[in-house]
This record gives sequence, C-alpha cells and structure tokens, in this order.
Amino acid sequence: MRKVGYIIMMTLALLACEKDIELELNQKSDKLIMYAFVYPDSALNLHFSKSQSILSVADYQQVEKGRFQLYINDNFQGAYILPSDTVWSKWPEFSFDSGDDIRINAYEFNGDTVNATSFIPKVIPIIKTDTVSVKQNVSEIGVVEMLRMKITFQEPVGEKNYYQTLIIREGWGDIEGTPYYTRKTIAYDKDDLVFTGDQSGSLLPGIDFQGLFTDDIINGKKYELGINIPKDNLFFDYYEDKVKITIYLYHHTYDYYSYFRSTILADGYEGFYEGLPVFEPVKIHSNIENGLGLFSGINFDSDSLVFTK
Amino acid sequence: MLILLVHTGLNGQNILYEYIELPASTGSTEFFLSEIEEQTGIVFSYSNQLCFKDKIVLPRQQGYVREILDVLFASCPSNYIVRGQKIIIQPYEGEPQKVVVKGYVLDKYTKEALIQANVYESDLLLGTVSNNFGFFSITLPIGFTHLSSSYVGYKNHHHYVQLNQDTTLYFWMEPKDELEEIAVVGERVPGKVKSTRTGTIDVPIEQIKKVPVFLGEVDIVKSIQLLPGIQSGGEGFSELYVRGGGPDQNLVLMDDIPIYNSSHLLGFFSIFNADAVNNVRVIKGGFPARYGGRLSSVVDIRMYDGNNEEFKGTASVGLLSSRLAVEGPLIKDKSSFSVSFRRTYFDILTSVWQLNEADKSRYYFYDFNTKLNYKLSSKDRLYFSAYMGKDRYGISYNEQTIDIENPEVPNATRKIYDENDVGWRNYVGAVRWNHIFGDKVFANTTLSYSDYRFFIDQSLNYVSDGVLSQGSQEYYSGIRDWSAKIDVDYLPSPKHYIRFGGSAINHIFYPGIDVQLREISGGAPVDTTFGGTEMYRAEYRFYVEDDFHLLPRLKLNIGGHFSLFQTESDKYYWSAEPRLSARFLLKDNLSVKAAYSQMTQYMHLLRTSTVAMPTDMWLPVSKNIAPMRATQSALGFEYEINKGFNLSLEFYYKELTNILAYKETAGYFDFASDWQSKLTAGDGESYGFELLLHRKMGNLSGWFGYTYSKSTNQFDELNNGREFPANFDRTHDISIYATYKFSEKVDMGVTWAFGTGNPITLPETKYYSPQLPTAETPNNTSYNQYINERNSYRMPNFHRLDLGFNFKKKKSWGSRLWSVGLMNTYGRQNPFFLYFEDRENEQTGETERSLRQFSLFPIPLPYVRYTVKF
Repeated sequence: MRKVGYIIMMTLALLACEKDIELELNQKSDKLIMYAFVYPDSALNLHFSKSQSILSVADYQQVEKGRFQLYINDNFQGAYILPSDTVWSKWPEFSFDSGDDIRINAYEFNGDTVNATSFIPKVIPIIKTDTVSVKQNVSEIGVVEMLRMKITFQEPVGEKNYYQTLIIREGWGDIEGTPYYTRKTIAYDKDDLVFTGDQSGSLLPGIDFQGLFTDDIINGKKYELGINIPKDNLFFDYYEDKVKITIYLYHHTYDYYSYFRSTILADGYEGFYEGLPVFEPVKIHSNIENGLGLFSGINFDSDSLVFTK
Repeated sequence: MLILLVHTGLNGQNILYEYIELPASTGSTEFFLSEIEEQTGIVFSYSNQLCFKDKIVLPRQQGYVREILDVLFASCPSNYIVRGQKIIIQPYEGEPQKVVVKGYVLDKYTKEALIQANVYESDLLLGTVSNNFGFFSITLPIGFTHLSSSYVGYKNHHHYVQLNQDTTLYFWMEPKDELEEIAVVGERVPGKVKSTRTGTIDVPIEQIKKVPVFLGEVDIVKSIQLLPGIQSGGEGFSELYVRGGGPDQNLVLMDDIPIYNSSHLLGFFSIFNADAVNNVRVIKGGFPARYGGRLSSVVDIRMYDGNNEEFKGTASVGLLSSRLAVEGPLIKDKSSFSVSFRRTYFDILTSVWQLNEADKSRYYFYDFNTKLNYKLSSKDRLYFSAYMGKDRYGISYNEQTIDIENPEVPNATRKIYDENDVGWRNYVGAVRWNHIFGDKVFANTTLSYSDYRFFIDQSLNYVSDGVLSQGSQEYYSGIRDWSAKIDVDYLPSPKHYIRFGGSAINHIFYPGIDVQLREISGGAPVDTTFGGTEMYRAEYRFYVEDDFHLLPRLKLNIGGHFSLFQTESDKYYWSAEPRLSARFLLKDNLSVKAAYSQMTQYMHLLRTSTVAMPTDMWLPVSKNIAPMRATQSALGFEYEINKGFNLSLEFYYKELTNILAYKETAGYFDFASDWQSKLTAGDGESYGFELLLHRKMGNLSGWFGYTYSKSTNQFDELNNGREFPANFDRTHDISIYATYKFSEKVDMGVTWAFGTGNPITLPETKYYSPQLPTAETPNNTSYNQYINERNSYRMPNFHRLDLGFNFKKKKSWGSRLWSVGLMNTYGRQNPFFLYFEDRENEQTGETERSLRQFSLFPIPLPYVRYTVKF
C-alpha cells in the first residue's frame, strides 16, 4: 500500500508546488511543561521546561530557576530545586508503593506554577503464560513462523483499566572474555481483538498503538491474550549463549494511556497517506494543570522465557 | 378524448389576436364593435342577451381584439367562438364550465422532455410547469383559449384552441438558432407562474457545457461550485459545501436515485457525463416536501431519454478521456434509447512507458449511462436507466519466474506478479413507470438499485520449495440500496399543484469487510470473511405538498415530509418536517419570497481527512448516534430584468443539530476503537446572503454571484466547548461566469472565482516530547504541538481565472467542435494545505523553521478537446 501512496504523491508532486507564506501567529506566553513518572520501589524522574514558539527550531526551553514540591498520600515530602542543566532529574530519595497517591507542584521562581496528581496502579498479575508455534501470512513477506504467546490474567471487575503489553528480548554472551549483552523491544504482531477492535486483518491497516489496550471487551473477565512473536527473535546471534524474552503487562493510568495514544495518533499515519497533512490535528492529552505534559504512576507484572544454547 | 395539435405563430394568428387602434376611447358597445369590424373585416355574431352599454371608457385605445372585447363585456363575461372571420359572442350562464388541458412539452426535433417548462394562459393569467417527464395539466374555462409554453433556449410555442372538452396538447418546442436578446413584453411569462421556491437554481446544460474545464473534462459539479452559496472543498475538487454544510449533506440524485460517491480520481472529477445530462437543478434552501434525507442541498440531475426521431451521436477526444454518446429511436414514436460512455486512458499510456519495467502501475475510470423508454400507450410510458462507473488504480510488483509443466516445451517458465488494486465504483439501475390517471393525476413509480463500494484487492504469490501457493485478500466498504417509490402529481385546478408520494428503502451498509482466500497448489482454497458486519436498515418516507394561490399575488407551497429509519435495535428514529415557502408578487417581474424548512439526515459520511478520500465511509444512525437535523429560513427577492435575465437576492439562516465530528483525540485510522466512540455530536449555525445576476439568453450570457456568509460549529468536546468557524466557512465568495458568442462558429467562456481563505487549525507552540518509558518504538518527533484554538487561522484567499474557446464548424455529416483553453490562466498558487518545515538556510547554514503552503495546479494548465456531432 505504501507504493500506492507513493505513486499518488508523485503524481501530485508533478502538478503541485510549495512556497513559504507568512501568517501572523498568536504570540502566546510560554507554557510550563512537566513530565514525571514513578514506579513502585523506584526513583522519581522529572522533567521541567517551557514551551517554544511553533516557529522556533528548539523544541523546548530550560527553566533556570525551577522548584518542585512533592506530596505522597497527602504527606508533604519537601520542596526542592530543579537543576537547569539536565533534561531529566532523578530523585532516588523518594520511595513509592503500589496504590500511592502523589501530587507534584512545580513552579518557576517568581513565575507560574503547575501541578499534577496521579497514583501508582496496582499490579495485574499474569496468571499463566503458554506458547505454541504457528505459521502466519504476512503481506509482501509470505509465510512467517511465529511463536504465539498466550498470557492469562484476571481483569478486575467494576473499574476502568488501561493496559499495555511490551516484549523485551535480552541476550547474553561472551566475546573473548568480555561479557556481551543485547536488549531490544520486539515489535510483535497485534492481532488480538483487544488491540484491533473488529478490523482484524484489514488491508486498510490501522495505526499500531504499541500494545496499548483497554478493558472495553474484557471487563471483569479472566482473559487469555494472544500475541505473535516472529520466531527469528528466538535465534541466537553469533555471540549469544542465552536469550530471554520477557513479556510485561503494564497497568497504566488513564492519563498515561491517553497521552501515549494521542501522541501516536498525532505522530501521523505511516501508510497510505504518508506525508499528506490533510487530517484534523490531534489534541495531545495532558494532566498538568496550568501547563502541559504528563505525570503518571506506572506498574507492571512480567513473565519470561529463557533459551540457552 | 379530443387530441388537438393546433399550432400557429403570432403572425398567422387567430383573429382574436389582431392588434388594432381605435379612434376614440369613449363610446357605446355598438360603436366599438362596428369600429373593429370596419378595421379588421371581422364579423360579430351575438344574441340579444349580451349586455350592451351606451357609454364605455376604454383604459387605452390600442390592444388585441380579445382584450378590447373583454373590457366591453366585463359585466357579462362571455365566450368567444371563432369561425373563420366570424366571432360568435356567447355570454356565460353562471360560472363557466371548466375542462382539463393536459399534455407534454417536448423538443420538436428530438422529442426529449423539457423539464420545468412554463405553460400558461396569458389572458387569464393561469399557468403551470411541466414535471420531470415533461408532463403538464391545467384546468381552464371552456371557450377560446390561447395557451403558450416557454423554455430557455427555445422559441415560445402557442396553441389557439376552442376548448369544449378535456383536451390533450403537445408543445413541440423549437430550439433557437441564436440566443435572442430581445424579449417581447407580450410573451413575458406571467408572474403567477413564477415559482414559490427560494434557493433554487436551474442551470441550463448548454451553459454548463461552455464553462472552461479542467483537462478538457466537462464537469457539471464544478459548474455548480460557481453558484453563490456553494463552495468546493479545495482547489480542483468536485465536492459541494452548501451554506455551511458538509459534503455528505447533499442529496445528489441521478434520475431520482441517490448517488453516494459522485467523484472520480480522488474527487477531481464528477461522475456525470455532460453528454448524457438533460437538466440540472440545485436546491439550497426552501426544500419542497418531496425531497428529504439530507440537510444542505439537493442536486437533481436528469438524464436524456433519447432522441425519438433520428439517430444522433457525439464523440469526443480529450487529454484525459474520450467520450461517445449515441441516441435514437428503437421503434418510431414508441421507444428510444440513449447510451453514453467515457473512459480515461492513463493506463494505456503508462503501459507503453512501463514495457520494460519490473513494476507496473495503471489507473483508469469509466462511466457508462444508458436509458431506454417505451411508450406503452398514450397514458403509460416505461423507462429503464442504468449507470455504471468505476475508478481503479493498480500496481503489479514482485516479479517471479516459475516453472510450468509442458511436455512439449522443456524448461518452460512464466512470469507472475503480486498485485494490489484500489478503487471504487457505483452501479445504479432503475425501472420507472409513468401513468396518467384521468386528466389530472400523473404517477411515477420507480424501482431502483444503487450500489457504491470502495475496495482494496491484494493477490500474493509464494514459491516455497518449488511449490507455488497463492493468496488473495479483499477489503471493501460501501452502501447498497434497494428502493421502491411512487410520486404522484395531482392538478385539481390551475390554482393547485399537489404532489404526494412515498418510498421504502432497504439500505445495506458495509462498514469495512475483509475477505481472505488462500490457495496452495493442489489444495482446496480456504475462504475467510471477517471484519465489520453488514448492517441492514430500513427507511420509509412520505410527503405531501401543495403549490397554490392563496391570493392573486400570493402563492404558497405548503407541505410535510415524514420519515422513519430503523436502528440496530429495531427501534425507529422518526421525523415530521414542515416545509413552507411563499411568494408575493410586488410587480409582474418582481417578487419577494420566504421559506422555512426542516430536514433530517439518518446517515453520515465518516471522513478520512479534510479532503475527499475514497476510504470515506457511509454509516447509519444508531442508538448512540442520533440523526442530524437542520432548520433553515430564507427571505429573497427576485427581479426579472428582462426575459431570461434575472437578479435574485436571498438571505438565509440555518441551524444544524447533532452534526458529527471526530473527537480531538481520535482519528480515522484508529481501527482499535469502535467508530461510534470516535465521534462527537455538536451544533452548527450558518447565515448570510447570496446575490445572483443570471443571464440565460443572448450572445453574452452567464452569471455573477456573490455570497457573504458565516458558518460556525459548537461541540462540547471540541475546542474546549467554544464556538469555532466551520471547516469551510468562507466569508466572501465571488464567482463570475461569462460566455460570449462571437459568431455561429466561435464562442468564448471565462470564469473567475474568488473566496476568503478557508479556516485552518494551526499549532502555536511546541514543547518537549519525551521517549516514554514503555514505548515499543522510538518517537518520530522530539516535540509535541499545542493547539490553542480550532480553525482560528485562515489560509490565503483563493482566486483563479479560467479561459476557454470553442470553434464550431458545420459539416455535411453534422458538426465538429474544437475546445481549447487555459485553466488558472494567471498561474495563481492557491493553498491546498499548510505545514511547518525545518530547512537549512543555504547562506547562513542555520536551520530555520517556516510555515509553508502546498498548492495544486500552480501553473496555467492548457486543455484541448475535439468533439464531433453526427
């Protein structure tokens, strides 16, 4: 399908031209931007910056005198100065647990304040993992051997939940006495109904939401989620002695899910109409009051398969 | 039934229409009758019951004999019977008896029905119009009558008839050789027959054919875009945006059958082959009750029935396509046919270029129209019509050579390719039966089928260990209708034109279905169908309307449209829509009109993007998606400057409710979400005024249109609930179309269009976008864009000049026509879309970011087309 889009674009290009134009864009004051992510038993990672004019080449502007205050379960943890020379600051002095409610107020000294609240979702345990070998047709490639993993989990009843499955491949080996390690995220085949809705197998391919899904069709059920991993991920490379495939079942907050999803949508569609900006722009979700960005807790359960040479 | 085929011109006319000048304006009845007898040689015969007066004052000394007699016997209305040079004057006893005159208005040479032709009795100021099949019916008092018919581009035709009983008349209208400029006051269409309709424009098809055309393709829809109140979606596109409404809010009818996708080549051309079109009518407001189902407009296109007299044809060759249209009688005076075909030849050209290429691509579209009619009796006529049209774009790639078993040829091989095809098509068919019940009832019964489908086909070949296996996959979406419909015209008296009818439609929506077929050589094929399920929805419509005179100068059209639409839970949405329009004659050639209408729409087009895409999908209302509704009021003035030369001014106000849009956090290609959950409902408002100066006759004809409008939307879930300009809100819109006939051989057409730039949503700030800790793939971009306000900016203004010439020459076998022209004559770069881009400054080496405009067809584009008529 990319070829179709490409040829249409080439035809248009022959009958089209581009030029700079000037429109008087509104000069809005800079907005404060905050990103923060917290895991159980892990440090706080925080980013604090300012937005830029859309005509600026730089993506953001550092805040010179940034401060933040942290509350865990309404308990004030203190006020801290944010460094202005790093994109992210790491705060290992705080410790978080599953279910914690967290609030952050961040502000520019003598300037605006933004604040955000979130929580760390509870773990949704993986009850069982099964695997089976299957063959699958893949467009323009042909028949591909896949490892089908079936992950069973109990979806909590009566609450709205947001999930993501992520698969990491790690390899260990040795190069002349030096430890060798590889790590990559596997782009697996997402044909389960939780990912595709009812458009499974469509020649009009939809956007890959990177394993995000909701409990819309599985609410309260014990669900067996199927994913297909191309089998070439199980092969050892020259130096590897051991390969580990880990499947993560993330339990996200609504804000994390919505932000992630909206950025994927806004990123555009890589397919038939690639490069043709004729779609309504997508609004990026934010849970930062008076500013933009995202603050969210994250939790997960995982299971893994280990292969040795 | 007496069939009279009386035809006289005004010069060889009845003696009642001799023009005389009397020596005095005051005198006795006897004096005036004697004077008339003396001047004209007429002999009067009358009984002693006739009222004679000693002194009568005539309002003027000149006039037709009949006019003077009417004044002389005003106190005792009389019937005039003409016998050669003798006029018998008989006073009525009580109310004069009435009879019905019915018949058809037809082209004299082709016997093609003339739609919306005026039929009027100019002395009594009674009139009507012919319907979509050329049929008319009018009730008149017995006695002598002068009945005329007029139609733009044709000479007026008159019948002078002594009416004693119900009568059938045919008006054989003769086309004018030249477009006459001088209007004869005596032939002016009486104001009483002027329509009550507001927001309605009839565009003569001959004018449409002379509009300069993109790549030489005559396009009806692009001509309609030049009318006030109607806009295109973007440069070159054949979409219609009417009074703030979306492109899915237009009911496009081809011979009464709805067309769901009326475009070719991604919307650059419409599917209507102008060679096959007889009449085009556009209704933007004041909708008559007989129309329903869409909010913003009706585009009613009627196709040619076919020449009943002789075989005729048109063949045409252009840069993009060639056309052939043939028509003629099948059985003399019983049956005729019309067939037209158009096809592009991109694919033929590209196949030559790609002879040695491993990958091959092809594109074509075609249209096929046909219509047959058969006259069963003087009261029954049968029509069959069909349309087939398709766009197909395909590529062949992944060339593979495989061995084939052939004992005669060792090591025989053949090449196979994987193939992808994308396209869409419309198949439409209808059978119609016209029947005249008595003299006053005309009924048209239609059974129709309409099938629109978008498709993607893919076929793949796999060769593994010498074994060939093949797989194919098809995706399709669309809508298929089966419908039965009856429309009845009932004309009980000249003061009433009643229409009523009903329809039942069975819609089948295909929201996106996948079919997979995989076949391994020697094995059985495996067929799998999955994806969206077919949705069956029933729709029922009923209407009644009456076009009638309430007062001599006040004409009303009152009606109601009622509908039911089934949902997935077998419940029905319903609507009862009042329709009202009124016209008051201020003068014979000046009227004021007002209209109020409500419309309901049960299906909507789920758009892919801001421009038309074949992937746009029609979907019905559901228990979660309520019908869209519109209320429109209009006030207008219409002034007939001269015959065929009108000025109209119309103010309108329109409210839309439950209109749909994608949520700000959803998108078309988000197939993981249910389509209903991606939509949000809101309201719209549009108001403005439209000015149209339209000259349909003369060597210089065309129109000037100006529109001022404001269209806004408000959705709770969009733009933080704040009101914002509708996507194609255009404050000022000017369109000029003029055609000038230099001689019989040469004419020129020119169009100029100007419009305020379309609203656009632009981000104003950018901000940091991190790589999320659970991202599967790295971010394509390192920043997010922040949108403060939806549609808060405007693209640069749009304007374009197109110019075309036609050179016609008569030949022994017919005529030939060369059409040449230049689109976008002064090379205006109109915006198609805007985007931001980072580029390196060649002088400083620094990266700079700017807002850029993408324009389609930025240079003058010439066209040429050669047409022969035989």
